[in-house]
Amino acid sequence: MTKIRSRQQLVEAAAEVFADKGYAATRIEDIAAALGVMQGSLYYHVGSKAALHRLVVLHHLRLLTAGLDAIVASSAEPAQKLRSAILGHLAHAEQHLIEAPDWFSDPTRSADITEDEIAEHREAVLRYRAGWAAIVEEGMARGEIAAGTDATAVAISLVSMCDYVSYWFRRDGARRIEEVAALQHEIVWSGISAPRVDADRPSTSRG
Amino acid sequence: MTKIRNRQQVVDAAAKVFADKGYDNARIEDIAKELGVLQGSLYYHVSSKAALLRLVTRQQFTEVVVTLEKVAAGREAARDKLKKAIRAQQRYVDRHRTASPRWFTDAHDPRRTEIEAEEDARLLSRYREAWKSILKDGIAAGDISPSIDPTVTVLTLLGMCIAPAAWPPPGPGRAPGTLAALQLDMIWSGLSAGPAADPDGVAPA
Repeated sequence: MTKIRSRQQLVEAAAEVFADKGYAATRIEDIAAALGVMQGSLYYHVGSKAALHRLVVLHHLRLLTAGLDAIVASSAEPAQKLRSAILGHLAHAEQHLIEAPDWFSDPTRSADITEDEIAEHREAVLRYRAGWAAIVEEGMARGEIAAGTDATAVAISLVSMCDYVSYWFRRDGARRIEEVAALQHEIVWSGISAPRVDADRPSTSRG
Repeated sequence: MTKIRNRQQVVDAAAKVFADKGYDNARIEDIAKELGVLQGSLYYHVSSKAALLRLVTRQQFTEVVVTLEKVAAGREAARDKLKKAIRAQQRYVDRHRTASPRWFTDAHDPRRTEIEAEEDARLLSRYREAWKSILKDGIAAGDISPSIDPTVTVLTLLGMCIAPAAWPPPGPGRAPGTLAALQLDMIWSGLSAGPAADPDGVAPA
């Protein structure tokens, strides 16, 4: 029997077990076994399976945010940043297809959640949205996106779009995740309307 | 004590109680009380609370499917149809937040019987086809680019339409109608279209 050294170690082990088995099928014993500890010492660190699951969801939100922050801070063009942001989200979700559909659901209905946890969770989701909004704002500052666009509303829409992919994507489906990301980027960046040819205004609606 | 006339009456009462109390807090007794009948006579019509939930969510989803099919069959231009479709979808998501996401996927639900699963699959496929036919008609009319992937486009739209139910809530000034208008512009002209699209839908140069 080994010892649990940190909460982070616990969360990472739980994340792996949830990813393998799914939340419903995972028992606390499975996570204890993965860590090589007794069930009792697990309960010393975390009150319930639901509480552990919430920690795992936060862990994924933070991983997504760290990836997004690196994209936002890079020197790429806004269009390229948006492409990387979509791919970053989709690729991470594709690695965790069983549990990804829970990441952006409302945690407040979870049985034993505390006010502090709700606040922490809210902060994590808002930080992730802020990264998306920053890309939209940069696009506006450079005149590539219409001034006055509600960057937060766009961010919420894009996160919903990416989140939903984890509900329908299948590894044995018609498209690879990279293709889905490229198509979604094309839809939101260039639009779906056909190029229009105007005598005095050559169309730039698809480019 | 009154009598239950038909199953529809039970489904309507259950929908009301689930909406008021939430599924977890709703008890079969509450639904019986809403109907003014004894619990026992309720069980004559439906076997469990879970079965009632299924009937309720199925009815709500059927309503949005029928709405979409009517929009798709209309004579308007693709952009106007998409506007209506996105609005209808967002209204549905906004009203039935917890139940709605599961309907847009073919995720395996072990509690369903085989017949139920088939019914669900048929309904879901009608729904996706209605969306796709809007896109395909738009392509045929020359309004929508022929290079789009209709399946991924529909699923992208459905994903965005979850936004009104996002947590934390989108916040003041972002009611479903406002979000729907923003999303329509975004997917129609693209974020890179520059200034907001003209009302007549011509992409600005």
